[in-house]
Amino acid sequence: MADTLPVGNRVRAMRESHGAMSQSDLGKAVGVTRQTIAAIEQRRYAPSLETAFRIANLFDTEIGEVFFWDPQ
Amino acid sequence: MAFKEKSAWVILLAYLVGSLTFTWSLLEGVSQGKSPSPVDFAGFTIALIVLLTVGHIIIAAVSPGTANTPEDEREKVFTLRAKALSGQFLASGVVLGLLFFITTNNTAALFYVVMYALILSEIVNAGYQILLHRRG
Repeated sequence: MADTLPVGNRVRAMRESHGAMSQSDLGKAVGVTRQTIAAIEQRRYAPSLETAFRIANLFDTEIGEVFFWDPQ
Repeated sequence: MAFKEKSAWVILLAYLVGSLTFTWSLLEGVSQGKSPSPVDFAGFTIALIVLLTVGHIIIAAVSPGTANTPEDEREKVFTLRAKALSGQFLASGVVLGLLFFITTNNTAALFYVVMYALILSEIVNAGYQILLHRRG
């Protein structure tokens, strides 16, 4: 298993609070695969700045509300 | 499983099956005193193309929703990392083949060392992509 990355996120919580949006639906909306959304949520992959902005924009919030520095 | 990972599995299996069958027939011919024929190599190439095509048609039929989606950013990173590693195998094989050719002047050996380096690099490429997909 890959190490957990130091970029935390609230993607799962926001996805569930937006009408229980599926990983697949979120992936389609921001232009990545369901597997990539799963990897972001599990902190196995840090998205590009563009994708991070797309996710924040989709949830109508600031990028800092979705992604944050968390070295653990 | 992402379509890209399924595709890597098809490539890995096609290259393993194709190259092992080709190597088996090559060694069998050599043990009977026959020299390797270009027809065998052509047969291997055609068999590989057929295996890859049929394999991709099957996985596209099984998962039509994801078959036409382009690589996303994470998959592009995996592709680049796998290509970087497989390129090292290919380059090492070519250098090895050239050194072998300089010292022995054996053109057939040069051909087969480079060909197997190419096959190995494709196997490493597909295998490493699968590993990266599995690990996340």
